[in-house]
Amino acid sequence: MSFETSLEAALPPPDRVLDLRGETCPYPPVYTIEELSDMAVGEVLEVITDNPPSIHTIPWHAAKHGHALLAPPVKRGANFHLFLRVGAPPS
Amino acid sequence: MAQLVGAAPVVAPPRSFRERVADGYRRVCVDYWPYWAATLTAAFLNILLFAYAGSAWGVTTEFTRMGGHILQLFGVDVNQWAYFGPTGIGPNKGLPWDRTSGWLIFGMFGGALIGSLLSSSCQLRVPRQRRRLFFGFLGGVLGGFGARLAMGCNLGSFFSAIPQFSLHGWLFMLGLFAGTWLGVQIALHPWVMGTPERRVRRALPSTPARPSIQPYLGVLGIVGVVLLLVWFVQTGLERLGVVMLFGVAFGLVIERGRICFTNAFRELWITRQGHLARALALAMMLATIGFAVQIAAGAKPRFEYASLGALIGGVLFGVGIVLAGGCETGWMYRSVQGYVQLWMAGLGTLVGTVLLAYGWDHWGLYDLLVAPARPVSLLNEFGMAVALVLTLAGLGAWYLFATWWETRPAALPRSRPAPIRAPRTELREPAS
Repeated sequence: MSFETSLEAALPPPDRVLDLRGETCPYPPVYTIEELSDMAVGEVLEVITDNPPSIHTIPWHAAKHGHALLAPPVKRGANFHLFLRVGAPPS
Repeated sequence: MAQLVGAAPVVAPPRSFRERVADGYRRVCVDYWPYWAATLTAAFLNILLFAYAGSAWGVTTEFTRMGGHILQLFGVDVNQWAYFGPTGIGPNKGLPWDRTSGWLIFGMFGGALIGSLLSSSCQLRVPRQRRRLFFGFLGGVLGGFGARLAMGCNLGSFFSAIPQFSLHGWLFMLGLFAGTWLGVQIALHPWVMGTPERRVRRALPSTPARPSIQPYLGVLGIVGVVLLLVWFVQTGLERLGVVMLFGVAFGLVIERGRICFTNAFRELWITRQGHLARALALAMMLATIGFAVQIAAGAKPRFEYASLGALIGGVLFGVGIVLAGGCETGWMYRSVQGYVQLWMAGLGTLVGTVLLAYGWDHWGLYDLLVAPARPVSLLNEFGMAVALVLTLAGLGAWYLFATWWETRPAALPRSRPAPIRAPRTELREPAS
């Protein structure tokens, strides 16, 4: 999986930021879904994680719940920033 | 008449050598490898290691010995224990740095560290909830105990066992399915998961990322490995040096590919993602063929007791690795990146393996769970052709199962008591 290394990519400002640094599997995708479920459709959540496997599981889990990853994960040092847009739950 | 559809293909202008090198570095050393690339590389390395050393990739046997050494430092005569004495894996045979199995582990830590440094991924990661440290340790103990009860961890009893046609690998795999499911139920329980305090925080200041010195340290690490290899050859210990190189390669592969076997099983129960499971199934099919060729040419495969111990060990190991946050490969590569929780998992693994070694005779575990069974090799039961077909079919079935499972709808977030959230800080600064 490749990712951006700068934050200059044209991304919308997040409505919320979920800082999951220090958390390891299996919690990052679980916390992310909880947070997304608590937000309004169309809002943007920025997830910050330093757990390498999570950049693969978070977008997958979010997509299964109808949310969308807006851009490839952004890597800054050891941290990854993921931008997710809240979607309607799958019917 | 042929017609061009759409825009003409864009021909990229020739890039400079410098750009190409930078691009290649990024692809190999910064971007993560696809799971299949990493697992197939690991399987290929495993085939080569089996050809060179006569034994496949495994780590917990050596962890048990290391635990034995530590007890010896405290004056415990572990050679009196049945597990260390007659089974011949005792710590009386030299020290970890005198053994290939020791250098395989040192190499793995070194390779994972080099890979992490090259991608600037090292950072001290302290979990905000202290309970994570406790469960990391507890999971490590369960994992280490279960692994040795089953005669190996996710490497020795699974990744290297099934391709060597040992039935105990399949029992261990069954146990892993049950154990990781159980582990997920425990790990997502509010008492274990905890109140996610301080989860929502102000956005990080968007200062430009500073160039890191970590890649330079990574290059220094590579130089160190080469110097060590030269020293091994100079002193006539090239066998240790070569196995160390295998370890470094394995460490690089698990770090670059984020190979954590926990993920392959646990995610079936949470995100229903089967990517890593499928990659592992493919890799083990390759290893099966590679090992079969060598066995046909006279190599001796290792097979272990197809006992209740392998099944129960698999369950305990499955629970342990989910609680700890990583299996043997998962905690090894992330502990060098600075994961405090996984340091605890590593410490717990040592304790768990030694506990099992003690209980082997003192608690009658061997007589109860292992002795009634016998080592079963599919080769001896069915012959090479049938064993090969059975193993490949079993792995293929796992591949298809993971593919089908992925297509099922997501498990909805389970209902649990509403977390008591800390008041959120406003994200955006008032315009100033």
